[in-house]
Amino acid sequence: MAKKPGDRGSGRDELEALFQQSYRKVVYYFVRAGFTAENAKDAAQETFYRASRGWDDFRGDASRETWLYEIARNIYKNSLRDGSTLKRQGVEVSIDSPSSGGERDERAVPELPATQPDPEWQAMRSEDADRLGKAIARLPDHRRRCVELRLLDLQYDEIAGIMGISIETVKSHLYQARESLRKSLGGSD
Amino acid sequence: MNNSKPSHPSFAELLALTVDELPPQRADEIREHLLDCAACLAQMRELLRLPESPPSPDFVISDADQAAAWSRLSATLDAEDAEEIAEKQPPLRALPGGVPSKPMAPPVAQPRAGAARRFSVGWLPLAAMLLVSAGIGYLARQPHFPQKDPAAGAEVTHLLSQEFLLRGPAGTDDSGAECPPAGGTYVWVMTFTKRPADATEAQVTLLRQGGVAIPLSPKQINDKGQVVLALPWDSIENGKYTVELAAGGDAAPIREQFPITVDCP
Repeated sequence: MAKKPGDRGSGRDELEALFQQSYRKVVYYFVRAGFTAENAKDAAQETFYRASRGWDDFRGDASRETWLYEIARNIYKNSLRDGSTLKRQGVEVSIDSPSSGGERDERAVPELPATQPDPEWQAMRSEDADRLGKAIARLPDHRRRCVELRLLDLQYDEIAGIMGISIETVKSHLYQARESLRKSLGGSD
Repeated sequence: MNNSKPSHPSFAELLALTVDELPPQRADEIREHLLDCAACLAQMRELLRLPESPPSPDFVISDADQAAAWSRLSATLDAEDAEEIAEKQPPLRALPGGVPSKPMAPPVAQPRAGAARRFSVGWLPLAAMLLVSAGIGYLARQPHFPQKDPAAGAEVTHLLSQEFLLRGPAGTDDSGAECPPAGGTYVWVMTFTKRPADATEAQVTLLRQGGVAIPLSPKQINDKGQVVLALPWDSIENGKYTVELAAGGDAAPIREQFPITVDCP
């Protein structure tokens, strides 16, 4: 029998470790998304339940916590489509910033964790900025945005979240964009 | 880079973008905006991960809340796994135990020399199950029923039939009457002899002979009229117990009990 978090022993221990590390964060996520405190706790419970049942589906593309975020995000998304299951608070409240569409304070940039430098895209940056900019502008929209976000040092999962596509698709776009750019810029590596 | 949009997207719009729930045109506009607006991009990146800090300083999740949440999740997983195991079990089999004079006073199984000590269950509940399944009679007509529960002063209307399952620490199907290893889960799958009408939950109480009653959290009654009770093995001490299930509310209450003796290393 394959070991999974539903099983006693180390599998359950791994789930418990993830739970202890991330339970509060998952509740915070749902509260930030507009859930009442009670519904946020229920949704967090559902998140970990699904994690336990899909434990073996984790492919290791990202961290367990990123995977957990994806599960929570799907639950949130489903709740938007099925408002009856997990009722959200009636008022959407900006938790940590002005959000009315007015001018934002450019200095209020939250601190972000460091991102991994990507040598290939670092090399791309060393190209002549004008030539590179023109070459990127010629890319199809999705690829261009993926490239621009990557050049801003966003991680694959962040690009996927913004673009509304999978991490695999992000990788594919970036690969194809890189090939196109190499040709446009004269085959340099 | 491209021309940025003059106005910043709202928090709600950024949040909606994370779940791909914006109209395509607006989503495109915001993506373009993000490429040129460091503040919005930073906020968007914050929304794409689990937050480290609470949404407001007064929003607190205590350690007790978290521990209770884990207990609930763990119990749910135990119960589901137990049901999964129950699906694979053969029909009730005879378990060791003497003939009890009363359901509340079962004999204690004596450890055999050289063998693992084990649980023993009075065979009367098992016999009751067979009687019911054979359609011979209704247990309430048996000499022992109904009887008064002197502790609670309430009438015990039915004798409980039950199955007996054990599970090892790694989720193996160690069914049988052997004691589970440390760290395992002790699982009972109990079946109401008379299904409580309209009841979806049963109150489970563990009564230790000569000790206190331990009320457990309500358990779901599944489609088969079963209640699954999963207890961490380490929490069970040797001794005589009665497990009592109650359901049906005040209008049509049903209480069923069965005795069990725990005698393990």
